[in-house]
Amino acid sequence: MRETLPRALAYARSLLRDPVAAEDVVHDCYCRLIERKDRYDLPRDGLKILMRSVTNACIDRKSRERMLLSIDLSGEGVAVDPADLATPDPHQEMVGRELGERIEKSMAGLPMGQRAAIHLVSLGYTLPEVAEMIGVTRVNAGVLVHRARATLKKDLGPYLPGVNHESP
Amino acid sequence: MNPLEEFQPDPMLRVIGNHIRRLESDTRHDQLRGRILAHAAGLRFPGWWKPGETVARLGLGLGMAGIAATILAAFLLAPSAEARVESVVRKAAEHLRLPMERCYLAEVRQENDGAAEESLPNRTMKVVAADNEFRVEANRGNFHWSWGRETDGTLWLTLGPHRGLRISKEEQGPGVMWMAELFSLSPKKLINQILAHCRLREDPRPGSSFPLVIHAEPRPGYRQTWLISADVELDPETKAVRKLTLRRTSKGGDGIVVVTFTLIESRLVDHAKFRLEGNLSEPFQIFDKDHHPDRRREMLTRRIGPQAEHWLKSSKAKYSQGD
Repeated sequence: MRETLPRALAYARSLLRDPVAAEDVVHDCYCRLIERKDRYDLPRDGLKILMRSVTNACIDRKSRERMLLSIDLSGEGVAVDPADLATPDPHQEMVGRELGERIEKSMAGLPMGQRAAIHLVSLGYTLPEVAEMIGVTRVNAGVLVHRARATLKKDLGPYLPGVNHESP
Repeated sequence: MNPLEEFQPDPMLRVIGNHIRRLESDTRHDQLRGRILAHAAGLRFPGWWKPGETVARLGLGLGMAGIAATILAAFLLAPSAEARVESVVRKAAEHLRLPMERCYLAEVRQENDGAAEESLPNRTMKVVAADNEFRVEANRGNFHWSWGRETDGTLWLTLGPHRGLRISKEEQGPGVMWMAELFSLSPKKLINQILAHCRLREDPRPGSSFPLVIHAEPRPGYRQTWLISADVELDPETKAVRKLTLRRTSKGGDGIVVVTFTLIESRLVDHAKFRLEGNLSEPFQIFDKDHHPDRRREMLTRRIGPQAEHWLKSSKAKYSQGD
């Protein structure tokens, strides 16, 4: 748990943009995993199952929020939480560095599927692994990563030497 | 072929990945880990509670906690050749004096499952301690119960959500008094304990300064036969005792029992929860020396069997030491 908990928690925070909600989600996912530990080969698949579970729980949570708010601003069917854009997340404030803040802000502007995919890819997971963790096909995972990269490149390019932010 | 080859040289992904890893390492997750462990432990409650064995288990759990407190006392008091260890001990003692309540998950397990007769099912309970108050929370199937000690030394026990009993200091059996004293994990009390018989050293663990682990072993000639060793895990910044792992001989002497106290959280003291009334729901009935005193023995015996004599003093009672 020492190894997987920080990863799962940071991932949930990235998806939800709410540290308290992220803790609740990760807590519930761990508890479910522990309850069903006999069904899985946890040493082998534990992290993948956990991340998949966190992804689904975050999507569920966001979906419930969207149903309550009745707001859907996204062109591809994935809503952007309006609060993410307007209100600085306390977590962002703690980053304390301009680039860190910029990354956080740009990631927050991504639809959740893209955010999940780019988060995992940035940590070095392969596309098949990412696809498995977020519950989409490998092709879809590639599309999500591609779109997220294009958006982030526009936002972060000016801050990163060697990144051409004007070409897609 | 690695399908990510296309992405790996991407400097932007590398920067984002580094940023995420930094966030991961900066994330404080101790409390969440404690919550998860507590939940996992709760799942095991029904398995280790069996009718008729309540007091034996409670007694053993208390004994283990007592050992933990004793070792902690030794840890706090024992001199060490290592200046670093001495400094750590001082800081740990200072931290324990803060006006906080500390919540521990106490787990007991048998190191060797071989000896069937002595085999010990895993058991877990929650211990909350502050200064000289404490309470123990445990489950027996669907039945939740707790017991504890108030500031004036009065012990109490809940018998369901609406009934409880209180045992004043002069009525307590010596065995349970001793165990209760140790259960508080209070440095003030522990300093009065005379067991300063452990040799302390910092666990080397090269390359890892986190967490800070102090290893304790009885000094040669120390005749405390139950203790084999203890590991005290400290927060590297605050020096708070985060985890205490004890290895001791089992009751029969032919096995090893491992007891682990894991700090779930520290928080401001809620004195109400250390009193019996704070653990009952309205309307409730409390039995004490002024209100149906004789019914307490009957209720205790019904709940925990003949071991009730260890809780409530009786002229006929015979006590076994520290059981």
